[in-house]
Amino acid sequence: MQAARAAFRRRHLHMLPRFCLRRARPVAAQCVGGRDQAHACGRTVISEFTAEQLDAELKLTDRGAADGRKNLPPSDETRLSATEALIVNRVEGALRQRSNEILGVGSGQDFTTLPQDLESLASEPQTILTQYRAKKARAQSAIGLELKHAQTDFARAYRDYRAFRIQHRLTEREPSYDNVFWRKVFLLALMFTVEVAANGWVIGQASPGGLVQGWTTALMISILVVLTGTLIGIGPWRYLNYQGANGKNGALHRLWAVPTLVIGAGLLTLFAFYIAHYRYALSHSSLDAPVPDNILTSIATRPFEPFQQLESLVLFIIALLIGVFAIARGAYWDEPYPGYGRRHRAVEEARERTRETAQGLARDVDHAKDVADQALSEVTVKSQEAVGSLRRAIARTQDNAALWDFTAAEILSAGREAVEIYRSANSKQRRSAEPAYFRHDAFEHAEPPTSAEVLDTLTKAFSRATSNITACKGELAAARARLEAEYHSFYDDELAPFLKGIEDNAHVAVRSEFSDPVDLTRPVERSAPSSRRNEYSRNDSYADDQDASYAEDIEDGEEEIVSFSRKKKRAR
Amino acid sequence: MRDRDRANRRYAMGTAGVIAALLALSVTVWAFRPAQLDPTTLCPTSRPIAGHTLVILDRTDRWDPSIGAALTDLVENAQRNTKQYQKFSIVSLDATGSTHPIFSICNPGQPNFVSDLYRGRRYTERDFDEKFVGAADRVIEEVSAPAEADSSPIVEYVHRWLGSDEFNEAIPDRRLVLVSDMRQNSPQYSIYAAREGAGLSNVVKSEFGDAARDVTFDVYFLAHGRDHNVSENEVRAAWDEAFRDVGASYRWRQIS
Repeated sequence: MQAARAAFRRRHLHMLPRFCLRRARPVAAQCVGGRDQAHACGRTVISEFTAEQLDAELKLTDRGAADGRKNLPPSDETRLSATEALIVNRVEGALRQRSNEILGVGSGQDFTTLPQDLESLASEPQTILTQYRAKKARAQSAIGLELKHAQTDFARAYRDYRAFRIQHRLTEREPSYDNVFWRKVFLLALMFTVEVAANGWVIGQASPGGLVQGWTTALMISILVVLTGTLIGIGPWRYLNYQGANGKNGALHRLWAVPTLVIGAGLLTLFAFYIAHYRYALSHSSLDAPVPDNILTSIATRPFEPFQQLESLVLFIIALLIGVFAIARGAYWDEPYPGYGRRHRAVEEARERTRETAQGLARDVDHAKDVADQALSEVTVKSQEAVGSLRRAIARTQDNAALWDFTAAEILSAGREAVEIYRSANSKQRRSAEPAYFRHDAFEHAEPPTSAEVLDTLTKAFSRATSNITACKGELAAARARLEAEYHSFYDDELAPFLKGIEDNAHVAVRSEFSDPVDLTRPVERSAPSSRRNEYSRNDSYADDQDASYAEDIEDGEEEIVSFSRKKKRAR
Repeated sequence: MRDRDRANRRYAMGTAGVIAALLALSVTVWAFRPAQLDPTTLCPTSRPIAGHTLVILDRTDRWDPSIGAALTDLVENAQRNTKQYQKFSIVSLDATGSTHPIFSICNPGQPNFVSDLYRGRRYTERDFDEKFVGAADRVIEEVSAPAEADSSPIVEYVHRWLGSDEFNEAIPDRRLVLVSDMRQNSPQYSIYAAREGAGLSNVVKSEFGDAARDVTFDVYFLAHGRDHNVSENEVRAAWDEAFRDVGASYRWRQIS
């Protein structure tokens, strides 16, 4: 009997906290006065639970009489009949519903397991910290390889660039060229457009086809002028001052550069004369005469005749000026000294790649830190919410304690009356003796938990949760402190040595790559040509002198990345 | 790196803008290209003419030589009112009876920026000044000389023009300037034989028909002093009725 009573209480004690720990509503305090008030407050109210109602719904009198006529349950039966068991189930259901209504339901939160949840939550900060460390390590290892390649490329390009400067005696001069490609194209297009517009306007005034024909003619001549000027600038003009490696081959290049320059300049002058003579011939031919086609003869016989006409003179000057501008643009399209700009760009690109990769590492670490911060904040919020809801559940239970105790007793009483209705009807109809258990109360083992017991359970849970939340808070604070310390330590103590280590390794690798003696019996493995390797080996004495500046450059790059990261930290 | 990328983007957009502007300009210039002109008549070959002003000089009755200056002004005025790509023709109704125009040239328009795009300014000026205005002046000098003929088949002459390709209903903005004493005298109908111009309306209606409906008639009455008992009022009344019946708009003026 004690065991049955305990089972009943266990069922309800397990059920009650789950239901009663529903999030408190603001109206809860005003809506605890009774069923009517609960109705008025809009809460869900189950239908009236009385013995009469059960009789009507379950037809207890009829069933009792019918069973009695069949002498059921037998006289020696000790267990409840099916109808009585049904009544007991309805009573239990009513108790559950009533507890839902009075003590609160719907949160879906099981407060019996809350202390355990908080206990497990206390270990979360450590997990988050471990995840941050793993991410940081993964980022370092993932970027490390890429960074190593970039640094090797940079070291190789720098070595090539440095050797070029030494060999060509350019150590006193930094490369100077426009590295914005589209600015060069834009200026060229602008120059071209201005020349076509100006020439076309002047020619079009005299040509039979009007301005359109003038612009078409000017377009063709401008292409010739700009193309010739640009080619002169890119080619022979730049090679006039070319010295060659170690002072060799410079004169050889001048052998072709000077004649080419003279021919190019002659062509430019010829085009300028051509356009001036063309304009002059157009304006001085009769209206019905065909387009003049004896311009070259005119240039040869009367070269300066068109200059008596202002428009022709202007055309001549414009063509020459555009030609000169085109030479300048061609010469400064890249660094004027041939080969210098290309090597400088290779260094710059490798440097940029290195910097981007290192910044990518910093970004990954920052992201991991952000994720960890967010996760820790979530743990904090979650633990606070859990304790808060537990506290609210206790308050609600305290508010509704009296109502619950009264309602539970009332439901049990109704259940007893209903069983009595069934048994009375049964006894009247049966011919055999009624079972012995009819004399016992069907709910004698039923003892729903009192509000004090529920409250006690919740309070105990709250007590355990409080101790767990304290531990959880401690873990959180420690994890936060460790996270911040490790994050700052990454920038202050780890990143620079990490980058420096990679750079040093790359530098050593490249140096050994170029200083290895050439073994002609082995296939070439390196990308650099063997001749260049030998050349660089010969220049290693020069190169070593430059190592200090190289190292300074590298350190400057590191400082830049670290200072970039520090700025970000400060911004955070 | 980022600065360079930004500069690259900016100048790439600038270059694209320059190219786009040039393309837009080219398309606009092409879209507004003027009509191609026939070198002889200066009429557009790629589109129909925009109108036709026809001056008919009735030289069947000898007029006073002093009227020549007024005649020149009249024709020049008509020519001035001829718009670009409209044709201006001068024909002489004389003893030969030929409808072949002495002068028939389209107005090529005076030079402006749009015409300069596709044709040199001095070429456009030459066409307008010499081929259109100057040539007409020479023709007017020729036709201003007085002449005489036995008959004045005005109605028949106009009828032949209304049926021609260059002055039929398909041509927009038709204007007919008649410099004449308006005394119709032909085997078909003679105003001298009819009482107060009776019957002219029927003849005009049958000869002109619907072809004259949208034509603007400017009649410049030539008073040469030999009215043969048919006064100007009678002539005008007869023509008023005739033009009204064919639905043509017309104005009757005097040459002074």
